[in-house]
Amino acid sequence: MIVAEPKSLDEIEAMVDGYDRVLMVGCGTCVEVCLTGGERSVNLTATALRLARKVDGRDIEVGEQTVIRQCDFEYLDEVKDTDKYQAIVSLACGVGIQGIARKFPDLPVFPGVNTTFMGFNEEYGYYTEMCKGCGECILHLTGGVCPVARCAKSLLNGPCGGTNNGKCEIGNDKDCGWVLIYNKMEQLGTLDKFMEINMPKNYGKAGNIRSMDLRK
Amino acid sequence: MASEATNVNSQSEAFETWIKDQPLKPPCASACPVNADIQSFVSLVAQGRFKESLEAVRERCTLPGSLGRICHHPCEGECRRNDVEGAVNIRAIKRFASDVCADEPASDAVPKTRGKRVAIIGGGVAGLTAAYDLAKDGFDVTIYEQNDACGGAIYTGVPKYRLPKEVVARDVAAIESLGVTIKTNTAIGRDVAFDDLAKDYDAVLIAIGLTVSRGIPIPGHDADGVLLALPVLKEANFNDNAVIGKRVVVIGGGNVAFDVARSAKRMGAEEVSLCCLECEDEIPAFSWELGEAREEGIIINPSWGPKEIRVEDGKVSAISFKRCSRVFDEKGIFNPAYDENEILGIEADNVVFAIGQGADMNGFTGTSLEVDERGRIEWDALTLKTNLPNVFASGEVVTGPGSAVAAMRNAHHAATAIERFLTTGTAGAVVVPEPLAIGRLPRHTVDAIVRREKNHVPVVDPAERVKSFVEAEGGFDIDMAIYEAGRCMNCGRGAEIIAEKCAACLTCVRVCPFGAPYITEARVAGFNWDSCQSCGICAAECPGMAIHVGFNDDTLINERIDAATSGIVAFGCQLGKPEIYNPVSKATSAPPGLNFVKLMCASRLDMRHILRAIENGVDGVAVMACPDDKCRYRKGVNWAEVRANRVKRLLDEIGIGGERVEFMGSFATPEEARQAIGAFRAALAELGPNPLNKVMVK
Amino acid sequence: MGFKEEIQSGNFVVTAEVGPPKGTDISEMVHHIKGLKGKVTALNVTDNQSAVMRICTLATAKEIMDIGIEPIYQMTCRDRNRLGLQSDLLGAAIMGIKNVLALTGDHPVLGDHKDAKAVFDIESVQLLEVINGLNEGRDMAGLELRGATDFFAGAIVTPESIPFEPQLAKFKKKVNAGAKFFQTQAIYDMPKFMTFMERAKELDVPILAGILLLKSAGMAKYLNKFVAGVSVPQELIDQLAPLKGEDVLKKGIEIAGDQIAQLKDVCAGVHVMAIGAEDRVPDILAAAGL
Repeated sequence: MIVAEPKSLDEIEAMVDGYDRVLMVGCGTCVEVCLTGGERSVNLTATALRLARKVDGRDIEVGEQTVIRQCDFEYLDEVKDTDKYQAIVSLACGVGIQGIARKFPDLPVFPGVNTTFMGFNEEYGYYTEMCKGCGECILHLTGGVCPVARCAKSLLNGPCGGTNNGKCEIGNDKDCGWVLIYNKMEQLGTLDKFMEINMPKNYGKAGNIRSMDLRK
Repeated sequence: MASEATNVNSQSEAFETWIKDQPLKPPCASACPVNADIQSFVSLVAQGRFKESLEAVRERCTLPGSLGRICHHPCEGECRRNDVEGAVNIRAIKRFASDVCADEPASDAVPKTRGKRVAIIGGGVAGLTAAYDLAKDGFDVTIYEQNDACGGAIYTGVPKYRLPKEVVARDVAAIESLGVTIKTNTAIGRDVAFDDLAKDYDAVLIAIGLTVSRGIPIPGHDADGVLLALPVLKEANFNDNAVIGKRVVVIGGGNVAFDVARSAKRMGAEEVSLCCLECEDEIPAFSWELGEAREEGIIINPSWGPKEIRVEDGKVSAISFKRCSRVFDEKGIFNPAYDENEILGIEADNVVFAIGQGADMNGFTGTSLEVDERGRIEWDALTLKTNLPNVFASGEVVTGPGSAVAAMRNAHHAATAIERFLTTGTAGAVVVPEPLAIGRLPRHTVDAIVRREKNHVPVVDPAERVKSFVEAEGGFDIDMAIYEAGRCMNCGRGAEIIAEKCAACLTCVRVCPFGAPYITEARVAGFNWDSCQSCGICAAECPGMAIHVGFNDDTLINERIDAATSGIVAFGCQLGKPEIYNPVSKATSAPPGLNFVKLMCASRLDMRHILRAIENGVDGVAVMACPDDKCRYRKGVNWAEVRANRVKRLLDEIGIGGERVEFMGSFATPEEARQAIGAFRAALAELGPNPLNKVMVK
Repeated sequence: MGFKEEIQSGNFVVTAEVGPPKGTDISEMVHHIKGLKGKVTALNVTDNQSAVMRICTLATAKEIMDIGIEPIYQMTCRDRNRLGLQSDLLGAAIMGIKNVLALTGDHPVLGDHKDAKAVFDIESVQLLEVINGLNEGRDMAGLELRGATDFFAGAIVTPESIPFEPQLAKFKKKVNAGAKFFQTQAIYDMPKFMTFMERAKELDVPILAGILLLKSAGMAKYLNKFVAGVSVPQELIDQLAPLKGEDVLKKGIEIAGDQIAQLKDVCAGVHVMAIGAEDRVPDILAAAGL
């Protein structure tokens, strides 16, 4: 799922500085699952914002709503009473934030979170990046471990010289993706594939304002 | 439970609403003959809300002090804690709730809004229970009691060592305070005519019990020294100088027989034997009576039937028994068989028959009440009606002998029947839905539950207790009661999902120590109430705020938080030691300005609770928790600390300052707690008042 | 003979490396490497080594050629995409640079521009294939070049990498991709190196053992802690520890010379790394008896 982390309260305060009536909207899908943008986070962030304003001797009215997703217009329809507010702070991922901005083009929409990666829900409160959305999946060639996401350099042909006891040169807490791949392919008995040289990535598929159209 | 149901018009409606609300109940409530909401009243004791607990008990178990001593507690037999270390001591907790509130002022009278009058003949267990229900419904109730005080069998019969009479009086007074009129020393027939009552009152309930002891016409039964059970018990209860012969033989195997035998010991008998038809396994008295009686030196002779009483000079000198080989025949009918070749002879000064009782129908002879040829009232068990349109009957007089709580159950039905009759004009069958019990504790949950050994009440040493009628069993003190009540696992009051808010994120599944949450086929969280302990850890973590935990919900907690708008709010486990607030004396051993919000567990503490207190204007929040090895829900202290730390960081960002929240953990003594609060208070004084108080425009 | 010819003739080769400065003043760099003319077969020019921004390799290689030393152009994939890399290779070719060492490159977070985007459009194995292509007169897109290159391409290997098997597999891939010579990361574990050389024999490719000049015990400890694939034995650290100044440097030179002496019969040459003390390389070679 998409993982996002909360923005600092200072940042959010700065965004809404000129406004007295703000609607905070949460999302009940990915960001709720990673404990960052669901109804609880909306409540805590709205409360914090209100208290922080009060400490400054001012008031702010923060409405709180959470919809199941902010990346579908039908679900965005469920956001109500926007005419009562001057701005929206969305705790959805970047997609949802832009969704709400498209839905309500006359209202400034501010991000309450930083969308970070597509990740795995390892255990309560811990998520790890697994996919970069490169658009050219080669997991069948690498034993089911992604070198694009899990190698710091996104190398495609084996570990670099910085590999250190199964850990990556950028940090001892990070596994070397290529050691993971090697071990996995050894376990699967496919090390002959390991020796095949993988072609450079087609970065044309990974960037450039993508869309998918299944309408025909 | 009635306090939870709103917009109900009667006790019976409240009860039925409670049952239908969630048909699966904890096994204690479903085993209880009156389906008392045991989990509620136990939880209230655990929270230190003793008065509310007592009133909750009284809703269904109308004589709490008395039943806290004499009830045979089928609830405990089904308590799911049996699978862990032992049942919760429910009866002792009930007794505690009554005892600790003994000096509380009486409740106010209930306004008699119904404009109908009910006469209840007999102020025993059944009569009192029906009176309570009907008075609470707003009827004008009058009890006609032939003795000098109400209570019936538990007043005149049950010995003082089991049930002191001032406790009975306490229970009766609570009912009387509702506005019930009690006419004592008033017997039907002798003092007031039944037909007059049937005419003058809109409804009459006959609840006269079984007050006439029976004997067996064996040879010698009319000699001097041959006694009947109830008169002996009455003598023991009301004559401080009551005596009995040195050698006493009691015939019978029921509770009354044991009451007689043990009373005889206390009245001075040196040798007391109890002989009954039943073999040891079949003895109908409550199982603990045998042990306690034997401890007191009473000899129990099972499988003997009375044969003949030897009389010398017109007085009893001995009694002989024949071996009883069988009590019930193949059809299960009472049909004892004897072997006359096996004889047991016992020297005796007194022989007491304790083999059963019958009803005293003398007051009804020649009235319009129909009785059968054996003197039993013509009675419909479903409608509880007699032949007369506005006359009902309940209790042992119509059901036959049974336990006190069974009589209460029947009386609740009678009150329902009468309430409906007086409201609609017609009497229908009283059919009360039976609650079903939730399942047994799954193995993985039993393993996860923290062991807390059961508390037992103190019992007077047998050698000591036979010397007088002093109460043989003690009760819990506050600490023991709260501890024991804390062992209740809140079965059947588990977490519920608000499906539309659930993202199936698995947080509840991962944080629950007991394996209760799971993902249903509908792909939202569900909670297995067989496992759920209602601690609320999941509710405090759920990112969608999609979990509702019954009585442990935010609404109640918020109410307690809102009680303070200044000073310090402290959060802690309701079982946390040490108490810094005494719920009985209402004295607080902490300085004023401390609002102690008790939670079922410190792990229930939600970040939002702390923020709410701060937003209300309090200067500081202290978070306390039981030590890790004492926490009921495992890691409660860890959760409390994590949440406190999260709020501290947030308060720093907000600009109010995280120093206003302090995680204090646990304390070994009240003194330590007071010192920590004192130090915190001093630190807060340096910080100044909550900045929101300065700038908030209210 | 040039570097390529020396190696291919089976003569023992010695290479060293120089790191350009961060800035335009190259006087000290020139001063350090002047004395290497005639003493080393070729000189590596590092490419923003350790992700620290310095003068680009192309320009530095030119300076070296002007002094009269043959450069080995180290090319990492961290800072340039495939266009930039091919373009620089063509530039190197017209400047007369003959040798290229294809590297992946250290990650930017290790260097002094931590927020830089790490390019890694291609990596070392692919780069070797690209060089092959350019040598054959076509670019990565398969388009014909107006004038092909003629590079002698090499790569690196880390014999003391843990775990070893994935490293060995990549080593073989690099050979398959066209690496014609290898330089290793610093060697300290002789038996391990011997084992490695045994396994590398079947690939029949010249390997230059990496010799790293230890300048102090502190440096040795730093290497052990922070540099992957380098592990200085405690006994060497103990030898260096009590010494200071010129004495410790002399000790380091002695150790390095001793290592070369041990290795020279099993490998095609040595690659001496004496960053900041390039001028002492001749002393090391002397200590080795070369």
